[in-house]
Amino acid sequence: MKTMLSLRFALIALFFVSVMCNANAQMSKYEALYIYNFAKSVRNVNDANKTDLVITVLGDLQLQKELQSIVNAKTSGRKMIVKGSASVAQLPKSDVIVVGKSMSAQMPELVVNQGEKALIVSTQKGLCGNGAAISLFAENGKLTYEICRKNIKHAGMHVPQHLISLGIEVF
Amino acid sequence: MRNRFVAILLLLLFVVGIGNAQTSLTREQILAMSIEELSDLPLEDLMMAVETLGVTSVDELFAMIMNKNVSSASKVEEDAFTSPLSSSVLTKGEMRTYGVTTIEEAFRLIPGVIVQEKTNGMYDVQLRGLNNIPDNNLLLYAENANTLLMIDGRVAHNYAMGAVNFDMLSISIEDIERIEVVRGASSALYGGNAVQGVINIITEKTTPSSKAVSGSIQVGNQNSYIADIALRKSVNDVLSLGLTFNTQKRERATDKMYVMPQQGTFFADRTANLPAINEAMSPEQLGALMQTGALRDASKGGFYSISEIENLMQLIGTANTQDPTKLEYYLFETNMPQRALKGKYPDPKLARHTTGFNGYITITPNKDVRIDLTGGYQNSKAMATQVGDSYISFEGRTSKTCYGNLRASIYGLSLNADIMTGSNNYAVGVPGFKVKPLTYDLSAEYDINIGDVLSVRPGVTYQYIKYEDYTPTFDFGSGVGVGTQHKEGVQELCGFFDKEADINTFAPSIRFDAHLGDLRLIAALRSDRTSIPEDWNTSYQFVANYKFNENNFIRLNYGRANRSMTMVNTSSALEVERTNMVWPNTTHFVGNDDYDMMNMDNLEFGYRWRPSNALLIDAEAFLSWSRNYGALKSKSTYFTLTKDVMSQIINVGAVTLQQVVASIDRSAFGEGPEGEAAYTQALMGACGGAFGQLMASLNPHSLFEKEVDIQFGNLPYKVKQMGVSLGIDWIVSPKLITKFNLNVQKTTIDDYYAYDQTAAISEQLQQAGQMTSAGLVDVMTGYITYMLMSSDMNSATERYISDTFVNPNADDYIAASYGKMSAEQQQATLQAMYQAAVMGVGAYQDANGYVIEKPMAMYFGLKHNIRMDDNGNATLGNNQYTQPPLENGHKHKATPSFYGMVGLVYKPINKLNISAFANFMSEREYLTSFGTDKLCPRFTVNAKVGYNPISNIEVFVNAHNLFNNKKREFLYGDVIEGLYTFGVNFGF
Repeated sequence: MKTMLSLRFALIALFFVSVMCNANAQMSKYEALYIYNFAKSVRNVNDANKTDLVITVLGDLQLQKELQSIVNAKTSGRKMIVKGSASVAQLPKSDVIVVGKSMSAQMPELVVNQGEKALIVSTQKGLCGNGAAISLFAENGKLTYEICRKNIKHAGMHVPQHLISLGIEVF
Repeated sequence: MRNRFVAILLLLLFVVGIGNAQTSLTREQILAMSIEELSDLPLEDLMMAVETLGVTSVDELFAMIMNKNVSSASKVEEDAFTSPLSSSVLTKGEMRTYGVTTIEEAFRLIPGVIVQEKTNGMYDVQLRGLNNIPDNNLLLYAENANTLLMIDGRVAHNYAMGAVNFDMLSISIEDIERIEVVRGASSALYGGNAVQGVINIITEKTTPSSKAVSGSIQVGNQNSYIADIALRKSVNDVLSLGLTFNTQKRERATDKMYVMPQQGTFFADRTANLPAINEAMSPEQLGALMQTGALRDASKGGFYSISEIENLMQLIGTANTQDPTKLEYYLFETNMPQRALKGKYPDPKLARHTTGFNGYITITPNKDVRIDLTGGYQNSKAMATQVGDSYISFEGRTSKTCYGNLRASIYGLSLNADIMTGSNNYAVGVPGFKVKPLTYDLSAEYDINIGDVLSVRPGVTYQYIKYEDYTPTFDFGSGVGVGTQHKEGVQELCGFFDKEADINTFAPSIRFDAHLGDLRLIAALRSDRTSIPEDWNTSYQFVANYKFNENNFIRLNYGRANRSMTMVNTSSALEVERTNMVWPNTTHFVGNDDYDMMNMDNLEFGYRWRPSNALLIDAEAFLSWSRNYGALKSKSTYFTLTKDVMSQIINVGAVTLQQVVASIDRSAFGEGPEGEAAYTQALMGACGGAFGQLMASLNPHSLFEKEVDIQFGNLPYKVKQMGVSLGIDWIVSPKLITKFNLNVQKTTIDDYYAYDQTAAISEQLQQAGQMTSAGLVDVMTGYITYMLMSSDMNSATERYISDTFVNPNADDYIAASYGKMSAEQQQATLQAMYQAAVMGVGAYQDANGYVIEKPMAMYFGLKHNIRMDDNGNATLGNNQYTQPPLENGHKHKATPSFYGMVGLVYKPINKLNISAFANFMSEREYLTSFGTDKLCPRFTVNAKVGYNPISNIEVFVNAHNLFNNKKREFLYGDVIEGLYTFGVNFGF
């Protein structure tokens, strides 16, 4: 019995000595594509002439990297600038703020400080109720999102109708 | 029923078919696209392209695992990584992925939780153990009594017996959004029973993104089927609705019942050194009887069929179990009529059959107001660990209850109100365990934010618990209810609480939460005032957290928590007659309204480390000290000296006295005072001899009824527990997620002794017997003197009985006068009282002026602790118990020294999902009043393979105990065999 147990534990230990790679890359890539697509169609109601768009990713280096790759690959179209920040207090002036999963608890503070200035996109389900304009999440094999018109308007932004109809509208 | 489920499964598979999502782009085309091309796709096409490539369940799991919120650690929803207490969160997605079939089984995935399967689908769930304390006692004490279970903050607890009964819940996995487990003393947040921690099951709330229909159906061997379904609808931005239904039925792998060892309790103790056995039966005959029927090896216990047990009971039932010269006198404690065994086990193969309905209404008029209204009903039958002292380890348990729960959050004010009622039977076919509970809780808390630094949360809670049952007398021996109450023409048998018992608790609380940059300090205080025992029980919690950065977090906390009262302990009023059974003749279960609640002090240190987004490590170490454990003990054992039997004895004495008087010639002693004195002396001498022979022939054990008072009482134990836990969640690759936890702990007890109720009763009986014999001698001596001093001996006997057997209420006299005297004064008072009684002077006044109407009765009450009731029956009791020497550092072996799990989820291709988890546990040893049960170390593998023909459907095969590792997991439980099921999960 003891030998069998030891063997089993040894197997488990071996199992853990395996190649480690960036497990989140695929998911972050998809999220970045979606966010880029959202950002393409966002308009600042109070500054209709503004063409550049600043996207700040809060607390998710992988997502920031993927988004930067997409932006770098573009040679035409709307100019986007991708920045990163580790805390709400250090956020630069932004048009879109993407909240990393680990920063979801900062939503209340973020909404108070930035809710009227930037479109907040979260990568966790259910945060439209906490002030996010869009909540991106994976479920049943699909990457989908919740979207809240009220929070978009509060941020002084406008998005096209097709963006709302393709997502799950919450109130 | 099972075939019906199979048909539904096949129909679903046929209707849905197997196919891929339709898209204008093929998978190969999408994979060939550059990042620029993908970013140029319209959103609709991008969404379909991503769906084609497949967002794997691994990705969803990643999001769930690394992205959890928890609310139970601080009553505020926050990121689990920075939760101030040792806490874990398990989502429904993880439960479905790993293929757990019940809520209880899901706890195997959580650190610090000990899960042991008793029989197919019935589990014992404990946070860190501390069960089977005290040991050498009922099986009930081996169950979980130190963890608080809540559903959305509504407490689900068995306040009658003190345990957590998962089979009595109305919800199932489909109702759940996540399970939060907080380890460590948490009474400051949640009140009594949150000693080792709290399990809070958070149900799924309907949102616009909720599936309209979702659920799971599976069928398998051991005639098992499990089904749950949910309907959810977000009506508009204010109103959301949900309705769920669940049912499961499972059978045991055997229809045999485990008969527990008889040695040490009823057999060996009574047969040791008894010459009557040797005289009654030869060793060969004894050995042959041991092989007869179910008694193949009574010393070890084992599985026997109902018919085998019935055959043996018939053998014993026809024997004279009142004759101590017969072997059957010593066999089996109970000889309940055969019909009782059939009534107890109408379906011995049934493990669990549970059904539940739940309704959910959510109202959110604005972002500052939320109202959740839920209600439900459950109906369950299950095979559970017996709660009394039956010789068979399992008993049936049934329950039909309904509940309502209102939770409201209104501009920072949190309100909660819930109610539960129904009927529970904790031991089917055994009188005394059927109750009708009614509980309701009301609580209110308010968040006060003082700047950005400090929040204060004062609160108040009120709880009312009532249990109803019926008249409290039952005769085990004859199987007849005495004084039973008829309800709607149906005879209902007795219960523990003498019709009803209730307890209420009021608890104010306050919590301070300060955020000082990366340092967080929390202090919480709660005090529970219970009506029984009338006492305040205060719990507290002090927490310090420090967040070094986004990936490193430490926590330190110290807290005190306590158990709540248990109704059986505080409010028992059950009288059990035992006609034709071995002693005692009557057992009284008496409530104790003045015992100390078990409590614990707990110190913990924890560290959370997230080296990357794909790896989360949570380590914790804890140390706890607990005390005020208790058990049902023999408070006193006594003989009942009934007035009728005493009258018979005295009348025999009267005849003896007349014979002695007639045999001595008065005239032989002369006249005058000297002659009278000589005659009296001769009479006394002759009477002494005659009465001495009379008394020697009387055996109190056969003359008088023997009764025992059983009452819950504290034990001196001081229990120390220390341990460490390590939990790891690791996304190894896009196709592979792993999960691991290991828990190592040690439990020791100081001031330990193994309380033995049988030994206590035996000792008390022996002492009481000696006291009764001495008392009888005194009674008869008093009688002789009384008679010799009487002028009319014919009426003297009647007067003596009348003077002796009344109710003088010695307790009042002791409190008012006698108790204040010195020992010498008491002796002198007794002597004077006796003299006055035999002289027939009537009322007696003691030195303090206290007047006693019946001095003879008072004399016996004081000298021999004889208490009399209104019917003239006297009881002579003894509460002596020679406590064994106390032992320090006693190693407690019922809690395993290490346990844990390792699991993985592997997705080789988009539609295929393979998961497995193995749980392991070191050996355990339980000591009960039936003997010692050793359970081997355990390593059990569970696996699931699921396939998604379309994203809304997963068909799967599931193996619980994949390699059919046949071992018992719990104290006197079933051998657990492999459970293999196939089924479908769906969501539309």
